[in-house]
Amino acid sequence: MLIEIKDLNFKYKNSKVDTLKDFSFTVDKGEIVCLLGESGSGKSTVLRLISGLEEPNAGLIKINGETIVDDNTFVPPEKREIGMVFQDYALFPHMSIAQNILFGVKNKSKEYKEAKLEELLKLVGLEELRNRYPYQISGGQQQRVALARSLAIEPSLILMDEPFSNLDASLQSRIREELKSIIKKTGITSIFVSHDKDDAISIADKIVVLKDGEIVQQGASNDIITNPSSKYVAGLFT
Amino acid sequence: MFVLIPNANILLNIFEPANENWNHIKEYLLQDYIINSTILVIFTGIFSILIGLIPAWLITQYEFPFRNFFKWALILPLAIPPYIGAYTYNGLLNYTGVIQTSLRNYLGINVNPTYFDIMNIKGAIFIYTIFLFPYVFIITRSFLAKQSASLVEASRTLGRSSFETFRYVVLPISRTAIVAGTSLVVLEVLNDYGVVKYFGITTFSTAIFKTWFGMGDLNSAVRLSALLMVFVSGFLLIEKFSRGAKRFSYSTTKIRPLSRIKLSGVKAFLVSTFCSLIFAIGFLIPTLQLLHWSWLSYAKILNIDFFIFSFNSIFVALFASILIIIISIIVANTVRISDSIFSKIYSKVAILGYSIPGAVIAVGILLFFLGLDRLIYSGRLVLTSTILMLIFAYIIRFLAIGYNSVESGFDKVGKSFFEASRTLGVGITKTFFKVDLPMIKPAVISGFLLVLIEVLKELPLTLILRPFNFDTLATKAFEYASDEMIHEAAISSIIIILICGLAIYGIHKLSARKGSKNVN
Repeated sequence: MLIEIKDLNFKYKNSKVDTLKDFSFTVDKGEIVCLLGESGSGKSTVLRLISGLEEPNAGLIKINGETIVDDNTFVPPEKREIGMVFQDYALFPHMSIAQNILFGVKNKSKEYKEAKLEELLKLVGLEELRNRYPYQISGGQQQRVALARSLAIEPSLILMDEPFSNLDASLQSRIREELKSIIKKTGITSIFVSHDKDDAISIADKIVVLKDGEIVQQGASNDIITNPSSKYVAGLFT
Repeated sequence: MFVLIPNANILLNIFEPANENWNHIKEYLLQDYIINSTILVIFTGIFSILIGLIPAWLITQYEFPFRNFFKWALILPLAIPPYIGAYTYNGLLNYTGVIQTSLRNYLGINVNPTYFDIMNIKGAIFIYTIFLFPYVFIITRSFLAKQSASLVEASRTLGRSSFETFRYVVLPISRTAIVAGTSLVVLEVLNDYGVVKYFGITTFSTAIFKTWFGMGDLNSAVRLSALLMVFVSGFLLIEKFSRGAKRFSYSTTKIRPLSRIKLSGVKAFLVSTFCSLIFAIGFLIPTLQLLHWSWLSYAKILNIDFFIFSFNSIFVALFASILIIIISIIVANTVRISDSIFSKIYSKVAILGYSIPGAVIAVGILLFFLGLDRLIYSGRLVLTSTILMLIFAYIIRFLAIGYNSVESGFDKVGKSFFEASRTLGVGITKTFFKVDLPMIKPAVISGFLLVLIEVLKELPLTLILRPFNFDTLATKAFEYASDEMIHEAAISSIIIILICGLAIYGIHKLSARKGSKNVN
């Protein structure tokens, strides 16, 4: 078991209701998990808690057996080595593609950096674009740069927030396939958030369905589709 | 097109042959003006960036005691006009001031008085920085609050520390905002007359005053104005260049506030202390000192004359501000609806006024009105040196401020409501009053308050153009201070600070409401 999350509770400062209530789930190494839910279900908050961008009110998160969050511990995001692909990609506008990708690689030799850059550019198929700037490339390419950038720090886990929501509908299925093949190639454990059942079905090994901050059902993708536990879940997949 | 009047007049007059006085100025004095103005601009610029940007970043990124208070308290130094700050600090620090006397009487320390002498270029840089840095603070803070969230978070998830994030991400992306804020500071420095005059530093502003009032030499004043405009234009070019070299706007689909890092213990204490220190030096200490002086002098000052000129001052400021806002709304609305090239250019020209220093506008307007009188009343001075002329000058100088505010209000609302109303059969004028105006009300009010602050604080224009025997709070305070009657100057100053402080608080409240609970 790579990630263990137990009884997370979270409430945003200005909000009256709990965003997450006693949220627990686990992820095995190499698994691709989809957190599926409507907007406001708390799915993005789970990613922000795992990456350390928010601190939970209560609960525990362990990665590789090491506690990163509990009542007494809080490892800040820059120490967690968890890759995060933001919904808007958050590429640094003042840096080239190469500079963006290598941003998180610190205290390494020049040769190492060069090799890493080559490897990642090849992985995401953007060798030609290394000297371009983010505003000069397409949305799909930006997404791959963001993915390469988070892979550059050799994280144990990749988090992706609505990876397909900013793309043209016509491109989505192709990009879904590309993303899936990149992730499979690297074999990295990943959690992504989506509101679209097609994303979940085509990419995820495991689906966690969220509603109002609570888990409605979780399990292998096929199980959930064939045996929905409630009308709500069944409704999602029709 | 009346904004162009001062410049056009100066251009016309510069072709008249130079007189002897000008040769003298050129040979012996001009170099000083240029050097002094340059030093003031450069160092004030640098220090304003430092103490404007750092708290802006701390407030955006961290949670610490009194953070919400500092959010608007660090804007308050703008309520104190630099010349008032200058004489207040001089009064505090000179030989008979509270600091040196306390040292002598309570601690028995006799320090070298030159340590506390601020009547020099360094002192002027200090005064400008501490009372003008909020321009950098306001602009960078609102930029960071809106733009930085996911970039900063991305940097942190990639393993970069807060300092590295600041250095490699925040600093470069906020360059445009920093340049914008700093250029406002620089324009204010070039416009200022009060501080340099009081400290005895010769700059372009003081030189224009001196050649004209002291020597009655309009010809040389015009030349100096033209040179100062060359200076300003050169600076604006540098600004355009450093902004446009690498242009990127990072636009995201939704604006999300940065989740702030909670500081505790020593760090929280240090950050709060740092912000308190800026607030104390920039607002609290001078205000308390002025209150104390007011207490000492109110019996002598508060008479019927005082109320008359206070009323005059506030009335003129209100009248000019309302006029400016009305003109701004008309121009902005026309530009928005007609969309023609002409109206676009016009809107750009109209806001030029703010970059023209007060002394230059004053020279230009005086020439213009003298010409009008010559034309209409065959030389009798009917229009010249009237309140009308003064208000006209305020409009030219401050239209940009009102216009920018109103325009940004229109920008946010967009055009679709207007179009919806038109398709429902409501005319342009009725649509404006029923639909547009209510929606841009917050922008209109904060524009009005901004203009009011500026007019109330205004010194150089008013000094030159005011009618005989007409005083404003600002000119009265300045005159008292110049005559070494610091205590007497305090009450007028306190009234200015009070009104401006309230206006700033009002603007802060409006923008907090407008920006919804998300962006803070």
